[in-house]
Amino acid sequence: MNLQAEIASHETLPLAALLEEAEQRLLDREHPASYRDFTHLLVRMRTPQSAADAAAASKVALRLCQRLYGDARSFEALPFADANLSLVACIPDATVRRMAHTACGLLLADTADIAGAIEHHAEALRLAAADDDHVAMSRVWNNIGLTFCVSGNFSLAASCFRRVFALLNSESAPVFSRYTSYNNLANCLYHLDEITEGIHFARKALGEMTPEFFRQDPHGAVLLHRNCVKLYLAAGNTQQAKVHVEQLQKLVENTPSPRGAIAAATSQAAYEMMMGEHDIGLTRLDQALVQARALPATLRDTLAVVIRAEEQAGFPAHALIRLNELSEHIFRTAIGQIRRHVELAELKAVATTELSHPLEQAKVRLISHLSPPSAPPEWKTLQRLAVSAAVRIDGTGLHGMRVGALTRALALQYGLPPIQALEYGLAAQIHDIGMASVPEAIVMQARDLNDVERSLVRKHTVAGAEMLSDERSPRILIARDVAKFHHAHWDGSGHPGNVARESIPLAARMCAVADVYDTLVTDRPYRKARSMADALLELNRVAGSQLDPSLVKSFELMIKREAANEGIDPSAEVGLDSFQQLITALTEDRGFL
Amino acid sequence: MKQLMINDKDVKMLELLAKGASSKEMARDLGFREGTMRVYLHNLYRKLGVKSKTSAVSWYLATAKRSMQESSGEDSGQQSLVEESFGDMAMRTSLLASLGVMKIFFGAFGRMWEVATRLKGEAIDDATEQQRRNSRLLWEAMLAGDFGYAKRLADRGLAGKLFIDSPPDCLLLAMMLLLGGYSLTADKVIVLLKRREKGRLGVSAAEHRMIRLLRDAVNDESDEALTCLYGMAEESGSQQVFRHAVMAALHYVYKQRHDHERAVGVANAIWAEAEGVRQHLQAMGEKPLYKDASLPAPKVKTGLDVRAYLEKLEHA
Repeated sequence: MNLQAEIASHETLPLAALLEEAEQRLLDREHPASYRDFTHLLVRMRTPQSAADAAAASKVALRLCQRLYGDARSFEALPFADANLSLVACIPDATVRRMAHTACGLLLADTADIAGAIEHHAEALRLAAADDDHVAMSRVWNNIGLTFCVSGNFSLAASCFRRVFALLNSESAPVFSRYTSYNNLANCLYHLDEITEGIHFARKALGEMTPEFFRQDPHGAVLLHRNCVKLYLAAGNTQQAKVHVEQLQKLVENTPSPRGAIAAATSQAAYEMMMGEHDIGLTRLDQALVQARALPATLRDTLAVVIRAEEQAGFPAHALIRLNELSEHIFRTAIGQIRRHVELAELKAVATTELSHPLEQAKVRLISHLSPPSAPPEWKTLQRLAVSAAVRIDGTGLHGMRVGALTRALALQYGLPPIQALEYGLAAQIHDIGMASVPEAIVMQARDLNDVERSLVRKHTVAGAEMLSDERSPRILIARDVAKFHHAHWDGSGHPGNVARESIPLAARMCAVADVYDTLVTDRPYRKARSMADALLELNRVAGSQLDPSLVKSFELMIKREAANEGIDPSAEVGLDSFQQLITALTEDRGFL
Repeated sequence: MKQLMINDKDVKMLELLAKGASSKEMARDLGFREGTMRVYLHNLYRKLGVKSKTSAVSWYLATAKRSMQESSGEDSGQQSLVEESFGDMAMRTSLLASLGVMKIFFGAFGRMWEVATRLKGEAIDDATEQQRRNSRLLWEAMLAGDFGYAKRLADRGLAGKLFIDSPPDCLLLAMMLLLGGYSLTADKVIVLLKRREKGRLGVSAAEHRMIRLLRDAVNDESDEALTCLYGMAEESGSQQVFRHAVMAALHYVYKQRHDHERAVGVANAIWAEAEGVRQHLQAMGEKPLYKDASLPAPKVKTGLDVRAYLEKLEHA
């Protein structure tokens, strides 16, 4: 086939030149190519190269990734960033490898794979720490903080940014990572409602800014002034806010960019709303919204500002319409992101077998249908995405793993054969993957949710089912059932409401018991944890209405036996420690399952 | 199914076959024409349900041996070998010998673990592979009743390292030492078996209890301890490997108490356990014991069919 011939002719050209050609074609303004046109190039990047060739090619690959990122095409950059990792694996220079991991981390964070991003940043941190390079380490911590900001976990993000300052204690001259961290911390503190502290760090960022930093990252300066406006308005200092609004306008005029224009417009509108000029503010926001719709990456924040403004102006009905648009947007984006990740994982599975010939690929697929069961190729990706969605509910991100372990143990206790129990447990790990579709502001809320918010949270089951709708492997089918029905009640009163009793898939009923139990024994923003025995009582109370009574019985037996095996008294102290010990015992590899 | 009716002529033919006679020689000895001899032989093969001379001979030898034992009354009072259950054979040989390749479905790090690891999408690294091999060696020694293996490991001072690498393996070592009657060495190893705590590897409370029960059941012949052990093996739950270990121990304890019937019963239960795992894996699409069921053809293939071959013989 001519594909083979094409590959053969490419063998002779240096990799860097090929990547440059790919860069041009991908970023062509008129007819941008798709990353799918470069499968052979990705395969070649994974084959061993000489160190010099690899270094040259890696430089181009990183630039390519950066430009795609700037164009909000992170998904297309990901395959290249990933192939770049294998490319630089043989290069002795740790800096190159660190950059490769950082690129992967930033791209993954941009595409909502928080867990994957943290893994890469952690590797970058390890490389920087091995060289005892404090500046490099501080850059990585800044990136980790940004990743947590994406997931909406602002207090964790804030502690990352504070680490940057600690690392750079001995540096008195301005450092770029410290400057951006001051700025990012100010933003976090705004979200955490610590306004005075926030203003303190925004001022520090202003003090650390140099013309060089400004040239390096003009959008960072825009964000800094936007943060200042937000913080001063929250503090009621309209005078200072006005100063920064004016500076923002000046900045945007000098370095025009769509993102900058939207940031400036929303800040100015927020100021005008505060000054009581509702009409002007809302009109300005309407215009910003038009711009933002063309730039999906900015739509989320813009809509959030608009909702606040409409409420402030006394138009709750308008606010509700915008809220619906926001949730629909987040819902669709989250589903789209996860489906694209799955697509990429499969592409990688095929690319790493180094088979480019379509017939060979078809053969591999056929064999995989006939051969004994194994994990679907996209499984690791789905696990990471589920953890990314779960870190928004509890800081550890382990809710899914715990529910998976409990579901497996329950399935075994209930008498299912081991492998089936294992599959149920694995499928239950990702039951909350749809949570990625719920706006953070709602997930993080400590107070009771109102009806609209509750209906948004409920949609996470639908989102989960849609994310997993490609039924390629039996496990994904089970996972889809679990995601869709784990909030269905035994008596039909849950959601979705059209199922009850045995018509709810067994795996989903099991996951529901485990999910409720885990929620009861761990702390949540809106209530305290209960002891393991108390939680069992509560399960029994809702058995027959919310939960399948026979499963609750098995679950109780299982918990009591495992607790006895571990020497834990379930009615003793409340807290994660003994529960965690139980989970560890359930998940420990003792050579069977 | 039709009963085998083997007449005297058949027995004569089988005797001659067993001596290695060719069909020509047999025809001469029995006074038949060679063609008739071939027909008789063919009928005999059909009766026995075999396809070749070799299979016919081995069937004859096995039957002859059995009838000799029966007539000499060697196994009187026991079931005949034809009716032998797994448990009987395990008593005559060992759990390991009677399990054969089915051993891979019993105990830790067997085929189930392999499949489960693959399903979880985890890679098996060298360290895990090494640990798996060590663990399997221990399990096989346990199933073979080779308790000296455990004693040799303990004498080389490896028990402490074993506990750090894998607490369940160290537990198995202690069980084997107890069952082998090495009570002093066993006590030294039991002291090593620390309980699992936060962030520290160790044995679970149930495992900790079990080893003490086993000690009393073996050393003091305590019936209470034995009953409790039985309860542990009976309980269904998540820790199959733990149950497997207790089942094996129970087999040996019954055997040591000369409780033949119960020892056989436990062995049968062990077989059922292994067979259950095998069937389950098979149901999940695994082919655990073979990859391909097709019969391999001889290396050198010729185009001859049977009739042509026989004609060639005739002409020769």
